[in-house]
Amino acid sequence: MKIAAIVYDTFRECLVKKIFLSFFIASTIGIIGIYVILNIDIIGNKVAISSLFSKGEEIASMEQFEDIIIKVEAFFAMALFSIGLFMSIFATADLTPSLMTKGRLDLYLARPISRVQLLFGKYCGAVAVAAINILYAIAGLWLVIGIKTGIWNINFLYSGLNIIFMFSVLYTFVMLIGIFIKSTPVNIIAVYIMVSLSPILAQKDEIFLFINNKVLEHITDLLYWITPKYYEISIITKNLVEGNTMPSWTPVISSIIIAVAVMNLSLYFFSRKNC
Amino acid sequence: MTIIECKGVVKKFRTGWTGKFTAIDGVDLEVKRESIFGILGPNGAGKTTLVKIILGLVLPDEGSVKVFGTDVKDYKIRDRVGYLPENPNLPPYLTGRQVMELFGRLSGLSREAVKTRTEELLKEVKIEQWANKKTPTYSKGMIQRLGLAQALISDPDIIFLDEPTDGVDPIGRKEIRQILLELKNRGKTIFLNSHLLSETEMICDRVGIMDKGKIVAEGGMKELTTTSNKYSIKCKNLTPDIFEKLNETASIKSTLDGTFEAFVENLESLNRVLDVLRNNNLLIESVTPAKQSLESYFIDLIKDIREEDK
Repeated sequence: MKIAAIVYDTFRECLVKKIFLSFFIASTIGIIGIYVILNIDIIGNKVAISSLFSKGEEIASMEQFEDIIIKVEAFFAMALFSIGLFMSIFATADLTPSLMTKGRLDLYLARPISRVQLLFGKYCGAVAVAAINILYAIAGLWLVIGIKTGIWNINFLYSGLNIIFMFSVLYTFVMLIGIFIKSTPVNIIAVYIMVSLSPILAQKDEIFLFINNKVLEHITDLLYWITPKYYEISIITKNLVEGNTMPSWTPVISSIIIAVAVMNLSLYFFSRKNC
Repeated sequence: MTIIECKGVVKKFRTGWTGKFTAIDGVDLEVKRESIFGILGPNGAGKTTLVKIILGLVLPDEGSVKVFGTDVKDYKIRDRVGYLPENPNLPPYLTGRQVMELFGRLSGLSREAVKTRTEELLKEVKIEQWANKKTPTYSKGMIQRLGLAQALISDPDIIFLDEPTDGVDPIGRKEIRQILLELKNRGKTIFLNSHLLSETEMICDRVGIMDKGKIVAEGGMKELTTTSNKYSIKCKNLTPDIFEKLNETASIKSTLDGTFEAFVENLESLNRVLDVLRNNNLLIESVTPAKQSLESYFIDLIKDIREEDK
C-alpha cells in the first residue's frame, strides 16, 4: 500500500514535470507521421509502397513485402531502443536527486515507511512511467503499420518489453549514482558513458586480438561483466522483431544479475544515509 | 512514563577526507509523556541532529535511542510520530491537499481517514483556502502551517517540531502555540526545537540546553528560571536610611514602584532583611522568589561555558 503511494507520487511528479506530456507528444507525432507518409497499394499479388521519399516502388511479391515491413519494424524497435531509452533516462534521472534534497527526504522517512520501501517505490514508479511511454510508442507504431500493411508482427510488440527491461536495468545505476551525487546531469552523463562503452566492451575479444596488454584486458573484462549488456540486448531486440532465434540468454541473465546487485547496493547505501 | 530515552548518544560527521566533527557528544535524555519538551542551544549546538537521531533519520555512532520503549531503528514506531523539519521542502509538484493525502497514505491511513483528517487539519492551521494551490506558491509562513498539518495527519502521540514558527507572523505564532497547547491537553507529547526563547518559555514544561553536542542544562521551566538566592520584596514607604540598613544585610536593588530585589546568600539572610523592614514598621506586601527569563538564563549559561572554555 505504501509502495503504491510512492509509485503514485512518482507519477504525479512526472505529470507535473511534463514528462508524460512530452513523451506523448513526441510519440504521437512519430506515429501520425508514419501513418501519413506510408502509402501502400496491394493489387493482386503485387505491392507498391509510396512515401514522401519514394514514389510507387513496386515490390515483386508479398513475401518480399513482408520482409521489408519487418525490417522497417526492426529499425523502429532499434530507434526506440536507443532514442526512446535515452529520452526515458533523461526524463526520469532527476527523480532520485530530487528525493534526496534537504528537507524532502526527512518528510518521507519520518513516516512509517522503510527506506527499502521508499527507494523501491521510487524505482517502480520510474519504471512504470517509462513503460507506459515506451508501450504507447510501440503499440501505436504496431497499430499504424498493421493497419497500413495488414502485417501484424506480434514480435514487434514484444520488443517493447525488451526496451522496458533495459530501462529497468539502467535505472538501477541511475538510482545508485543519484544517492551519492545529487546532480541530475552527472547522473545522465554517467549512464550515457556506460551505454556508449557497451558496443566496445561487447567486441572485446576481437579488439584484444590486436592489442597485447594483459592489464587492459583484465580491466575490460571486469568492465564488461559489471555493466549492463546494452549492445547485446539491442541485437536481441532486433532479432526478436525479425523472428530470428535468440543467440544467447547470457546478456539477459547477466544484466538481471547486475541490476539486482546494483539495486541491493543502492538499498544498502540508502539505508545508511543520514538525512 | 518515559516516551523518549537517549543513552550515551554520539554522532560524528566526516569533514573532508579524514577529519571528523562530533555533532552529538554523549547525550543522555529522557522525555516524559504528555509534556512539551524544548531543546535550546546556539547555532551548531547539535539540536537538529539530535531530533533526527531520535526520529531514526540519522544513525548514531554510539549509544541507544528508544521511543515508546522501542529502538528507533524500527521504522514502525513512526506510526505514532509526527515531524515538521526545519525548512520543510514539501514536494513542489503537489498542492497543499495532495501533500496531506501523500503523507496520510504513507502513514498507513485509509482513503476516508486521510480525507477527513486533511479537511480538519487544513482548517485548523488556516490554509484551507490555499489547499488547491501548488506549494511553490506558498509563503514561508504557509509552508510552516502546511508542514505542521502534515506532521499531525496520523494523529501522532509524539510530535517533533523543528522551528515550527520560523517565518510565521506574530498572529500565526500565537495560533501555532495554541495548537501545541491543545495537543498537549489531548495527551500528546511535543518535542520542540526553537530558537525563540520567549516562545519556548511560554509553552514548554521542560527544556534541555545544548552546546557543542552536549546537554549542558536540563530541567523544568520553574527550576531553570527561578534563582535560589534572589527574592523580590514589595513594600511601601521605603526610605533612603532603611535602604542603607538593608544594604548592610544583603545586596539590594530597588525599583521605582516600591519593590526591590534582595540578593541573599541563604534564608537566614532573607529573614534578616525582613526583620529590618518589620523593625521599621514597614508594611510588607509580598515576598516572592525572583524569576529570571529563560533568555537571560540561557545567555548567562552559554557565557559561563565560553569563559570556562577560555
